[in-house]
Amino acid sequence: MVQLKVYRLYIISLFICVLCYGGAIKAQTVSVDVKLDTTEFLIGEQVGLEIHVMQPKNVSVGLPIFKTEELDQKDIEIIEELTNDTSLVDDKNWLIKKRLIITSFNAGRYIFPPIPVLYYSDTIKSEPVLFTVNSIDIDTTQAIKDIKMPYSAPVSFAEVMPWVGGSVGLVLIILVLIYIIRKIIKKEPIIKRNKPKEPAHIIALRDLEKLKANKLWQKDRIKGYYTELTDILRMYLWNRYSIKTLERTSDEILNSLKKSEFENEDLFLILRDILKTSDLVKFAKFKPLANENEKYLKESFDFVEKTKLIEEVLEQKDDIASSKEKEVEENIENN
Amino acid sequence: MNEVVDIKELNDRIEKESSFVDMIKMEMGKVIVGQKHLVDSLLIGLLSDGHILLEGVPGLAKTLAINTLSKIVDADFSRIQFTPDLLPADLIGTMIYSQKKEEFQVKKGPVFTNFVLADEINRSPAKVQSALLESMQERQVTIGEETYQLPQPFLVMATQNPIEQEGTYPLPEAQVDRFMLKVVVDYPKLEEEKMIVRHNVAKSFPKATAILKPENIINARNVVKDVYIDEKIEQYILDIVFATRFPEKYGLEKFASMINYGGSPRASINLAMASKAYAFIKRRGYVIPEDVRAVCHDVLRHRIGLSYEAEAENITSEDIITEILNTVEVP
Repeated sequence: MVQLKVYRLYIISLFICVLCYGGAIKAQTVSVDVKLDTTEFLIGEQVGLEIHVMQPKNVSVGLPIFKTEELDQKDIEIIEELTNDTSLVDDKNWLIKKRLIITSFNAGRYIFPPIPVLYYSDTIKSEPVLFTVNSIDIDTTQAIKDIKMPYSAPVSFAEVMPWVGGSVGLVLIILVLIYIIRKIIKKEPIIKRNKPKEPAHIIALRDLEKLKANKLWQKDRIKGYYTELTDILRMYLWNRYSIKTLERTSDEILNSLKKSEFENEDLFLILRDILKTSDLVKFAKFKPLANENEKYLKESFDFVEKTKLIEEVLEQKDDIASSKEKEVEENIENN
Repeated sequence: MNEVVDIKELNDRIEKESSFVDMIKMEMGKVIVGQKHLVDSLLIGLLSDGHILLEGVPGLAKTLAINTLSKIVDADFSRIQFTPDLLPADLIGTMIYSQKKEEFQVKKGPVFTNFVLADEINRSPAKVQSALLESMQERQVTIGEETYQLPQPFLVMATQNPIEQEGTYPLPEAQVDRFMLKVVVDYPKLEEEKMIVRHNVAKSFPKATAILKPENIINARNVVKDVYIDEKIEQYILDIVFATRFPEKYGLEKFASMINYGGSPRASINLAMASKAYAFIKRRGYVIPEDVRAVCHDVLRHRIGLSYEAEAENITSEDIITEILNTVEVP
């Protein structure tokens, strides 16, 4: 009797366990739904195919790899596979959304094959999706037209700029190279020093002559006379030695001249004397004697003449050198 | 040899009257090592009746310089440390009730002296600054209902620290303009600093001796006024000051947007006065462009208002003055 009771209890327990296990299985059900945006579209049109996988939180599922080559239906093309969008539906279940962009380039009726989802050792498949790809209606009453070329996008400035810049740069480099080669062939210096239209000493000597002719100090305009005298010398120094003299004081001019390796000490002292005396006349009401006025003018002439000579000698040296080179070249040619 | 007009006589007079300048420099040189520019600036201020704003980090012998100068001139000296809680009465004086005499008596402040060192003037609020600057300008102080003349010579040397600007009261432009010179004091040279260290380590500080009386300075000031300044130099001064106002007219278009305001007429006056004093220090009876250029930075650096654009491009008033001097034609 007791054994029968134990047997019954065992049977009941087993039945309850089976029921509970079945419930647990049911609670962990995975479902797959596939939906197309539209079941009818034009040839080449891109349509979204959405896959919804509902799964319990504690279960992991495996989605297949979506590739055109993997499909049985070769006329369907998977263009793009978007990333998964996972959301919590309730406390127990996740909803995984997967979106594919598909198209077809052949008109007809197609079936998108069932999508298998791995679930433990089992596989759940979605329902197949049927859709129609329509061809474009051709109006046969109209004349046949030529194929239109693809539209070309407008060219932007940023796209053109590197080419334009590069071309201009290339042209410039070619021009510079031509210039350098021509200079080398002609045996001329590549960079030529700009010279004033008139040599500095010509301007200075002409202005000194004009000052002499104006006879300012004889008319008791001593200050004006020395102002002009120093202005002529300052302009001369500027043109001759490229020293900024107009914005500098006498001391600063003399210092700059020293720095520019002005070697003639006698001429330097003459210039210093002229500038210092001029400062006294201009700023301290100093009135030199008549013979001093003449002396400073004469010394100014001398200064320009003697410093001019240095430049002429250099020019002459250059001329001699270039004429000798020409002679040598001519001899070579004659031989 | 040369026919000489009255400038010769003036030159001789200045040669004679300015002989004390070398003595002052010698006495200052005993105590102050280096800082020749500071000493020259003090003399320019003293001889042209102007006041000096000094900018430099602490420890550059600013106090020692003015103290020594006061000793050499045998004049009174007082140092006022400007602090945020200083009151105008602490500076100029106030009325104090005397219980013995049963009346209010005037208690004169430290400003009643020949040489005033206003240390760190920007540490005090505007009302204290303006009290000092007013006495600098008017050379007199009103306490109660009475107006008192300040002693002559009266020289104020105010200092500003270029660092630690938090909690300071920067001098307004109108007040800064009252200073004839703004002198930037720099660190001594290596050899000079070696001497300073030796003096301090040995504790053997040389002392300056009084060689002048305040009256000599007042007489010298009258001689400085007689130093000849030619019309060409005046024009040069005006060109420089006008170039700070209208730089585009002098080929300095690049500074047009960088200057908010240029030098005031007081700048022109002070540049002329300082040039005269500098010529006097150099023992000359006439001003030459070198004199103007020598004092130009000190006279103008605090009188040029820079725009935000200049500050953004790190352009200082020093740069602008240097460029102006390199652009304006020298007569």
